[in-house]
Amino acid sequence: MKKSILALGVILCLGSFVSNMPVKKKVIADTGSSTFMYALHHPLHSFEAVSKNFNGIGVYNEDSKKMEIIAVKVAVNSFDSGNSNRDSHVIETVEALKYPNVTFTAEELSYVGDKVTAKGKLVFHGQTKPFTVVGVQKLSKSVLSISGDFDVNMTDFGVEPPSLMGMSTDEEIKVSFNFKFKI
Amino acid sequence: MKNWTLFFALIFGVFNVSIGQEISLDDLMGDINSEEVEPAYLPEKMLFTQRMLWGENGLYRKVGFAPKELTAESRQRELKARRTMFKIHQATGFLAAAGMIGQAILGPKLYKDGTNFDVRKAHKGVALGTNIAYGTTALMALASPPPMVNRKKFDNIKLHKLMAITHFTGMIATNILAQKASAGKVDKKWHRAAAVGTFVVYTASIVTIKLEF
Repeated sequence: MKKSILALGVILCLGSFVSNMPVKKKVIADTGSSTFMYALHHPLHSFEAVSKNFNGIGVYNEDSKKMEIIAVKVAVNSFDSGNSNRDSHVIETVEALKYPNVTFTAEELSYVGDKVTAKGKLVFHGQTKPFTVVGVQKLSKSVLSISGDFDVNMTDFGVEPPSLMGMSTDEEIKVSFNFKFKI
Repeated sequence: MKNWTLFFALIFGVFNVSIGQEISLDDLMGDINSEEVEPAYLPEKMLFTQRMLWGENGLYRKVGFAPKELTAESRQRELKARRTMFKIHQATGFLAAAGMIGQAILGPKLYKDGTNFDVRKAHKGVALGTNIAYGTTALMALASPPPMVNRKKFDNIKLHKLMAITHFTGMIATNILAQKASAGKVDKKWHRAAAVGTFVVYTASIVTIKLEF
């Protein structure tokens, strides 16, 4: 009996050391140096809004030097377009009080050279849909950056394009990002 | 002694397995969602009329016209009402501008021939319509629920509001001077100057919506 317990302990120790060496680690995007923004086109003028209140987190494989999982969450009311009234209008249009965040999560990341394709789910306006984001990964000594852009059709997520002076914006929200993770 | 060795071997083994486990998406989401904070439903800065009516201790909340306690749902309804009032503000604002243009045509005609009662009647009628449209526009702006965000930064909307103070004063002056000119107490040119000045500032305030800075 004692020998069995001892053997089990040794097996657990060795097994964990051999098969689960800490090659994967959690990495967090630095909001100070990372950027996250969207752009909308309106017949009167296009505009961009930037958020500094977002969370980007991932699982990085130190062996392959690739991200394996990624999750990003941004608060809708954190976007600043330089015009409070317009930001307030967007908050109202996307019902941000009811659905305060937009999240993208992906567990299926594939690489072709430095191009990374993340297949996952986008949650926007309380609706979850499969979504693919393509970006470019760059690796320096201690920073991994992933940048890219993608379009989201707001009507696909049940959002009516906001309007000003009787004219609506385009349905496409053009999102661009540049996340910098300290590795 | 042997029992202790066995115990430590087992504990150490289990501990190693637990720290070597894969990091899952759920773990990441747990980290991300741990920082949730309750949003502020009202902005720190708002127009004095909005604070008076829609503030946390505003008149509408006291008399039961608006919910006493702010919730996401009730505030969303207020924002919807704000949007409707904003659309009325825009529509009546353009009507008032059209009225001012109409007065710009009728006014000079009246200056040329002060005895033409048809023109005088039309000028008075359009003035009344313009005043009603202008008053509704101002009411919709002043009495609307506050926006969700009102940053300190000076932007085109803040300029729009500053210009509103100027053309509101101009509208009052134009009306007072119209009465006085009609009674022969002041020269008509002062009424015209006030009207032209008001129209210029009013038009500029519409243009500020388009200009971004």
